[in-house]
Amino acid sequence: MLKESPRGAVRLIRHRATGQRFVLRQFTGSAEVYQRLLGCTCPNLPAVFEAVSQGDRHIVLEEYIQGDNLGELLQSALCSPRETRDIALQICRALWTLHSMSAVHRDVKPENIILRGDNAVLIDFDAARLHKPEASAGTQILGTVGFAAPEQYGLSQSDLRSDIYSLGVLINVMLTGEHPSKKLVEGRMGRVVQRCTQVNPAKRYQTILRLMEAIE
Amino acid sequence: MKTCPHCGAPLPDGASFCHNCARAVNARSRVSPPWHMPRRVLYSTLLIVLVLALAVGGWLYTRPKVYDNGTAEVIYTDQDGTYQILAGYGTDRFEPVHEYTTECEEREEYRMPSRLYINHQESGANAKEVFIRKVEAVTVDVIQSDDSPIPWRWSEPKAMSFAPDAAMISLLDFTAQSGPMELIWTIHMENGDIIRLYQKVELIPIPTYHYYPEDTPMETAEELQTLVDKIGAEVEEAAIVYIHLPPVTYTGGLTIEQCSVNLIGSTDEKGRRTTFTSTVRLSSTLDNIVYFDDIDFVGNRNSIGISAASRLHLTGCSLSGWKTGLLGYGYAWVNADECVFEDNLVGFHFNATGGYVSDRSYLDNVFRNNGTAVLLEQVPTDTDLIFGGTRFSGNGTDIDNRCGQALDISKAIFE
Repeated sequence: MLKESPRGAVRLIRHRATGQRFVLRQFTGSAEVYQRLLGCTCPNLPAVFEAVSQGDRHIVLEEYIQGDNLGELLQSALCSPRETRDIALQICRALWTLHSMSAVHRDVKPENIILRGDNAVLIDFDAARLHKPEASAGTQILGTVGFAAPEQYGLSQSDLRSDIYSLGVLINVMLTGEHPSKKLVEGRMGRVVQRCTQVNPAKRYQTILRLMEAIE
Repeated sequence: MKTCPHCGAPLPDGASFCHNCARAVNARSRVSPPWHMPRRVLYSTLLIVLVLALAVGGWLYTRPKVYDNGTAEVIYTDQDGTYQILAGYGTDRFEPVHEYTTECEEREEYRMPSRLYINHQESGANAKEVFIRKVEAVTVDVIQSDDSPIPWRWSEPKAMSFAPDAAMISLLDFTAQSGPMELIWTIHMENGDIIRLYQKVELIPIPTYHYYPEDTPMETAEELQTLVDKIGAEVEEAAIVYIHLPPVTYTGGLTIEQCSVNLIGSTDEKGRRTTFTSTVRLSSTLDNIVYFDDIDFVGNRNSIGISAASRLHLTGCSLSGWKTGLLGYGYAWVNADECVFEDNLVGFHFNATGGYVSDRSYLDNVFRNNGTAVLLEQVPTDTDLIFGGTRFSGNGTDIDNRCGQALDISKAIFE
């Protein structure tokens, strides 16, 4: 058992014959985004192998990502600007895939990023938007650094710009180990972080593509 | 039921994953954000393109330019002003003539000046002198068919005194057989610029008919009158008609009133010439100039040799023994070259009020033993009549200039 909540559970399972490991999600609500992800592959998101529904109940089988957790890596060292740029761009690609399906992740943070060789994979995405308790400090705050955008605390409807806020915080943490409100990275990346983390979502990059342009 | 493409295990319809071999069995497409050019690269590229465009534009701006719009007019601007440069055929220096059509008579040779005019665009003043100082060379070329039997000829362009408004003129010589052509004026400026002007000329041959005594009865005045009337009735108005007369004496008169027939006399081996002994009349209804060549008109002092109310040109004729040898009246304009007026009471009587001056030269004539050689009662021009090379001898009065006509007799001979 990886995670359990009133609306479902997430388990790590092993295929008997091959020994391969998979993540099995059982939940209620909408599985529309998982259905869409079934037909596509994005190297920066776990592959969805199967999504089965019976009424309101759904079972989803997805790829288990084996690698180093970025959250754990950051406890011992910071990322270089080059590494930060590469990881941020890959997370942008993962978010673009989700956003193109009208889904938002809402929990972009180092602990949800697995580094598999040179490949950064964004896991634990809230594709169904139903599994995560709203404004829970346990899932949205990393220590003293807040990754969640202000609107995710219930100030307004969260949208894709909430993920842009979180990614801005992530970039700053990768480079400084600190929340941008405490220590903003210097230089051009600092300006990118500043724009990502504007309190007013209208002042942030409006799409993930604009953020990618700025990072590149 | 379907089967796994990897291991063959039976699977439910719609399955995306094989529970047996743990592999995906559905079709998947790779998803990635659309490619875009990074903004910095885009801006850098745009900047480079802009700089290159400015550099190329600047380079082109300083290159010599070719002004060639395929017409007879170019507007040319330099540091001193803007000029209207045009090629025309007439005396109007503001009228470019790109296409010109003219009628030509068979066997005739024509000369036409093509004129280069240069005007200040704004003021309209003639700018030829200022402009020509900036010109390195002007050439004229003619594009014409290689198989033209009588090709166009043209002179090197230069200023000519007869057309002081034109900066330069090229004289074009052609016949009805020369065919169409395109004339190209090329002006090489000292700064390297080149200006080209184009003039196309189309020639329309005028239908021309010749009548010979071998083919057509014309031995008597009656036959000749019948022929002239028949031609007047049958031949189109624009046509030019030559009647080649035999060396006979026509005792009856002749009236030409429907068609401008030209009478060409002849001389046989015994020295007999085509001769009229009664009056030949030209009515005022004729459009073209009538030409009489090499014909004698011999009278008995009672009547008029030639009575012309329209345009007439005599060459190599003689008029003798008439009360009046040659009378021009009404709307006539009459010319005589190389003619002999002899033993008439009045040799040449000009009494016309018409409006068209064909030719004001009366060259190399002989007025001999007339009562009055030349009687000028009314002459429809203010410009002088030129009696160059004309000889006056034995006349009662050489010139009775009643109307005070301007005359040039500087080269006339009075004996």
